[in-house]
Amino acid sequence: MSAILHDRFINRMTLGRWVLFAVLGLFVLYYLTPFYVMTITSLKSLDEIRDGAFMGLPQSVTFDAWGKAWNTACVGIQCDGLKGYFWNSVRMAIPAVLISTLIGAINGYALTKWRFPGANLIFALMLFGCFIPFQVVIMPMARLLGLMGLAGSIPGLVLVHVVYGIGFTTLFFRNFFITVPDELVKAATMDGAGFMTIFWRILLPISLPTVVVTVIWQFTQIWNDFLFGVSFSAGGGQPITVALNNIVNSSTGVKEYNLDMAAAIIAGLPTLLVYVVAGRYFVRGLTAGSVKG
Amino acid sequence: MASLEIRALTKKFGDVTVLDHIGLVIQDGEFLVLVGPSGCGKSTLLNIIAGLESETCGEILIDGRAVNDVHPKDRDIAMVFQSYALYPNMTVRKNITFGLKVRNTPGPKIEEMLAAVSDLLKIGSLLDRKPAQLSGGQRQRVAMGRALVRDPSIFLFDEPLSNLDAKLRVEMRTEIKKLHHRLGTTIVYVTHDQTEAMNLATRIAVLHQGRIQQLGAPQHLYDHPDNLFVAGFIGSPAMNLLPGSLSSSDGGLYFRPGDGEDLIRVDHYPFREAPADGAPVVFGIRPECVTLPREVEGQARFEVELVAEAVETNGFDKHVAFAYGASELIGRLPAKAGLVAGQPMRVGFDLSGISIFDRRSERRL
Ligand SMILES: Nc1ncnc2c1ncn2[C@@H]1O[C@H](COP(=O)(O)OP(=O)(O)OP(=O)(O)O)[C@@H](O)[C@H]1O
Ligand SMILES: [Mg+2]
Repeated sequence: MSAILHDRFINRMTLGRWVLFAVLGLFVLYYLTPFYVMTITSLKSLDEIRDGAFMGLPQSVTFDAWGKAWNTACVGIQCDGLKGYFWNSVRMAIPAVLISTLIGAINGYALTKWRFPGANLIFALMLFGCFIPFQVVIMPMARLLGLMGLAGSIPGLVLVHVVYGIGFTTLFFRNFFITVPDELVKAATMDGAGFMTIFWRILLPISLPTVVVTVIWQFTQIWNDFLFGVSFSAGGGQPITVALNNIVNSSTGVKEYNLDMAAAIIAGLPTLLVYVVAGRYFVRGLTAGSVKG
Repeated sequence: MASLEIRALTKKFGDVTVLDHIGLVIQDGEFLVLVGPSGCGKSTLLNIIAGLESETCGEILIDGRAVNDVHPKDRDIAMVFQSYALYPNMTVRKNITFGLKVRNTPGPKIEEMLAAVSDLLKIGSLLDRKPAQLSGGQRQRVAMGRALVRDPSIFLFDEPLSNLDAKLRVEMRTEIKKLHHRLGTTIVYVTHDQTEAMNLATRIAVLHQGRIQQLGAPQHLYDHPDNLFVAGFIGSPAMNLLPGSLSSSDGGLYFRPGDGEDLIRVDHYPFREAPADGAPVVFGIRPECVTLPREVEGQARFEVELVAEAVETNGFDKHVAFAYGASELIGRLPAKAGLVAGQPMRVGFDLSGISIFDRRSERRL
């Protein structure tokens, strides 16, 4: 049965389809080439880079640059590598992603299923919050963090990312929960479940694809953020993006391309990992609600 | 089991009055069916009884106790929704037992109740499936199971069969009726299908324009509709309604169709009060009372020659559309009746079960 379908599909590989695949292939190359260059460069020794071909595979593979980036690269005057900063980012991103996703879920649930007077206005304001540029909030945020005694700390960064992310996470969840029939909540209410029970036992489980989308989105935003990181943290408490910048942009000594590339890949790996692990749900989540059932 | 009383219930959405001083007393063990056209406020009324929606004013009493301020979960009411509203993330077993678990019912008791309900509804083999893996009829059963397992004193059904195909609908209708006989629980059942209403109800309430148009036993509503709306709503095909006037001559009282010369004798009609001569009225006659002359028994009869314009057969009888003056008249003739569309034929009216309405107030005379 499926073989027949497959044959039919092959038969329909018309010219249009070939063009489509060719274009898609081109895009794939376009996106993968930089990553390829980064990877091979990070595996070459500095000498080989200096006189070797730019695109060529390394003659002898060495992980020296990776080790150095992780353990001993100099970030500013400290020469302990990226590892400390990597963990800073982990300690910042994980709580910030989880908290903002959870708050977004509860907001979306309350805004759609427990409509209170002014719910639409509040949602509109949150939506507006999504479009406020980073730069605008920096000064007031710095002042606020100072007043709260969180300036320059990781909890401070977590707070900033949670606050800035709530608009987006609320939007995602509201748009999903609005497609969920109200009768579900009514049925659960008659069954004796309260606000939180309904959320944890029914609404949150059925919104799993949305949770995945939100987590990916938030993780990418927060892990890759540079501006908040550079504004609200200092010294050893900085996230990896800031440290990477400091490594690459240090103006003293020779330019160690292999080190820079290894450091950049290390900084980018976690987001890549999240996409690979959760990507299946990502596409599903983006289209959730567009088709009934 | 419980009785339910609704007193002067009004519900407004903004400026729109959806329910207007509804009063209703439902006895313990009664099967009350609420019917009405789409958008007349049936679901709203049900939701207010359940406590899911707040009333603008008025009172809801269960067993004589006002429950306006009682939370839905404490009203001892269970509801079956039109969309079934099964929890999609839970298996059938969990769907049914969710309410019991939330209420901290002890485990062995839950198992016992689950077994009883799945036996009753024959869903024992479906317990480990998710709602998405069930057919429409099976989902319907599970939704009923979820309501039944709580053993409430009142059931509310909001168009529970409207998503099913015709055959399944008739099947489930019978099952619901059996269930009511067996459990004797008070039921308020919403539908806009009047066949369903006629078949299930001990009493029917017809809701229209925010008011209860008539409340009574199905047969009573069928035979004695209180006003034109009920007359047109109950019964399928609908009652024939002919505008005209009353006139008395030779000591008899007659109905004269608006544009005709015919005089239909209505002396026998039990007028609620003596009508004025020449009063504008609407004359109502059920299709089954418009038939072959030889089918009409009794004295109160009328014969006329009419042209059959269209004929529909359902195997059991024929529905024939006759042109009568400017009006159309639907008759039900025996399936064997030989008739040809376009040909004139003799038609008899059985006048024993007619209804006469005032044309202005639209009320039964
Ligand atoms: N939340 C609401 N806000 C404003 N108007 C509403 C709301 N809910 C219902 N209505 C209006 O109240 C009226 C009654 O709605 P309801 O759902 O009770 O109708 P219904 O009789 O159940 O109809 P149906 O047979 O189509 O289910 C409708 O005109 C509807 O537009
Ligand atoms: Mg409804």
